[in-house]
Amino acid sequence: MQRRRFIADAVKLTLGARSLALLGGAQLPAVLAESHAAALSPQEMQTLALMARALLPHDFVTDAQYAGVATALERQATRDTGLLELIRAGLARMDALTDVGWQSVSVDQKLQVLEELQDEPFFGAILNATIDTLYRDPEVYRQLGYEGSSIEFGGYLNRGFDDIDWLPASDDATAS
Amino acid sequence: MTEFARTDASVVVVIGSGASGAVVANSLAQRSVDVVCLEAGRRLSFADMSNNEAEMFGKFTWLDRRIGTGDTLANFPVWNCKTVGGTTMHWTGTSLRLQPHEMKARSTYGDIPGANLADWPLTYDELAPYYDQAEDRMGVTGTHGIERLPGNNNYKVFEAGAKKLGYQEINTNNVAINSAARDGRPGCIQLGFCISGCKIGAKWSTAYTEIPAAEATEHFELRTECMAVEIRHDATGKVSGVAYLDQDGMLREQKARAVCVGGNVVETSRLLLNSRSKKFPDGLANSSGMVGRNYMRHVLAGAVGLMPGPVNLHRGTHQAGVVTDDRGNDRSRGFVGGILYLTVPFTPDVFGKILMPGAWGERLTSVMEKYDHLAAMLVHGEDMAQTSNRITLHPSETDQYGLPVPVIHYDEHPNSRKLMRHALDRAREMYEAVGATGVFDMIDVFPATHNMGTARMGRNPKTSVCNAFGQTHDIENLFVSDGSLFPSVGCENPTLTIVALALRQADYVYEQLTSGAI
Ligand SMILES: Cc1cc2nc3c(=O)[nH]c(=O)nc-3n(C[C@H](O)[C@H](O)[C@H](O)COP(=O)(O)OP(=O)(O)OC[C@H]3O[C@@H](n4cnc5c(N)ncnc54)[C@H](O)[C@@H]3O)c2cc1C
Ligand code: SF4
Repeated sequence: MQRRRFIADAVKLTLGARSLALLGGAQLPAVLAESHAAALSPQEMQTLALMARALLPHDFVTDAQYAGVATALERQATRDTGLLELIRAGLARMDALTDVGWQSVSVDQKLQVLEELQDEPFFGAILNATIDTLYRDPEVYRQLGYEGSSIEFGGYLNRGFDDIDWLPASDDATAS
Repeated sequence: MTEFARTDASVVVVIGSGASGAVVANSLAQRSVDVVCLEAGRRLSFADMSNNEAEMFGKFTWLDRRIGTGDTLANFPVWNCKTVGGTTMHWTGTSLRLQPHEMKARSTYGDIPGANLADWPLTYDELAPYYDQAEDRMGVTGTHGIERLPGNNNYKVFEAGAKKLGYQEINTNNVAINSAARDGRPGCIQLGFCISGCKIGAKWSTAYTEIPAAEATEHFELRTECMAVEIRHDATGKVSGVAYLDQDGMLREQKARAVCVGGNVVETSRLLLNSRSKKFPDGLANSSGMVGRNYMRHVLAGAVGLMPGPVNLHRGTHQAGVVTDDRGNDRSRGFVGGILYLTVPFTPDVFGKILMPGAWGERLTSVMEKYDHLAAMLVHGEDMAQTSNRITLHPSETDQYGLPVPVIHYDEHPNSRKLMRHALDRAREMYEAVGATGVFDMIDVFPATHNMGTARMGRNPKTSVCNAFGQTHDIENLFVSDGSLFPSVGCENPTLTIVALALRQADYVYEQLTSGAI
């Protein structure tokens, strides 16, 4: 058995972040409605984009970037019917866990539904895709502090590979 | 470009162009032995390499189906490459010798329940001259007067923490990465993409060292995108050729005087087990039943410190530092075998998945937004051989070549978890000693990057597959050249030892060929 650990202590999320607040009623960009490949309905695409925001809520990530997660997932799902079914069934369960549909409930309830589903393969697939899409996006990873390709700048040899300045002075600086 | 006829039965066929295969092939070609090297992957140039981990992963990783069972990742149990240069395109260059006692695992550790420990059939002193050659050939820093690399930020945090704990053997590691121009390759410019194929070639990879050197001899032909599927033998039981699928999927056979297999353990086992015949119903060189058994990796886990200031761990060499104080065998710790601590960076998408597997929401993003404050290391320890850890062929599932999918079964030995826990506790203390506000353990998230043990060397043909030169006990002109040979693995990364053994094997094969013994 593989002992991959999942988060047992589902942490109660604070709702202070602007990003999460937008879960309430995000206006999804027109690109989402127009450009998708129609494997998923506009409604399903919208849910995926909102879910991506709930999974990786960063204030600096835009609606268009979260929508990009839905588009990437749909692209994958058009080539992989297993994934398509997994997504469809998962989204249907999200709706079924609420009275009026996941998109229409409060932010708090939205997160509760996700917590309930967090150990399921559907959830893992969306989480992985969200991480891959957003954290491989140069606009996003630069905000996190990752600097990406360095060959065009001659590496870090003269650009701070050893510029750390906050370390406590070594006790044995004179020894060794 | 040199080409040999497929009917030419005087050539030595080498399977694989990674650390083991390329070194054996080049060593023989340098002495005018004709060699045909079959490589399943494509040849990439420096222009094909990019500073993009996800892209390079797609370009050169071995992604054919493999099944993991037991304590391993089910869909991706093993991580290696399919390209000219093999996994030396991916590797991070750490090149440490085994310690003498580690080559005598059975004598040193005694009878460990559940383990099938064995001593090596050669001593450290017998291997030492080949370690010397290997280090010089690969340009290993900190050996033979080669300067070590300067330490990057991730190293400096690591070093400061280790010193606070009283560790003394702390340095910027022995790596096969040029600290200054050497051997026609430039010095490292701290790109930070060692696992994406070093774009400037500062890191040793056989793709741009051994392979072109062999080609220059005109005694060597590399056939890319050629997947060996069966080793064939004649009526006397000697191997006579290798069947392979070429670039167009055509089944061909290259005749051979001798065959050296360097497919990186999983593929080496698969090829031997697949080469069944009336004479050898259990596969080649398998009269002992040991082919595929005693599969070992290393104990591997990670520790990540959330530090009080910026680290920018992605800047520079990956395995930029090592602590070796704990690599001895000290039973008072409650386990046998040694530990190395090695620095390592990860990109945001990888951290996103393995820092706190399954975590999402602000719990994850609050840490990820401090990406530049993260410092990270791997803890690396000795694994125990167990007969039941084993590579087998799936009874029904096949891959795109029509070959049975390999099944990699691995159960962790109880010794490993104790070693890992001890090491992670020390790692945590190192980061806390220099102000970490949080430390994350990364456990059970890594595929195996080091594979060993499945055609072990030994003196007894009933309990081992090869002799001390990697020559199979059963078939005198069949050799295993890769980590499959290791009877035990120590705690050091394996490639330097693989190269040393490959150089030693090449000497032996040459001698056997010239004396007419094979
Ligand atoms: C991310 C990463 C980092 C690593 N870092 C280190 C490190 O710092 N230090 C260290 O010591 N080790 C490291 N390693 C391990 C190191 O890469 C391997 O030990 C080494 O490359 C093994 O050499 P090899 O020749 O056995 O196999 P490989 O280098 O994998 O070469 C095998 C070759 O054989 C080919 N092949 C396989 N089967 C067939 C077939 N049937 N027909 C034709 N061709 C075939 C493959 O395509 C491949 O090119 C690392 C590995 C990984 C994945
Ligand atoms: S850090 Fe050095 S070895 Fe690694 S990729 Fe960059 S130049 Fe090559």
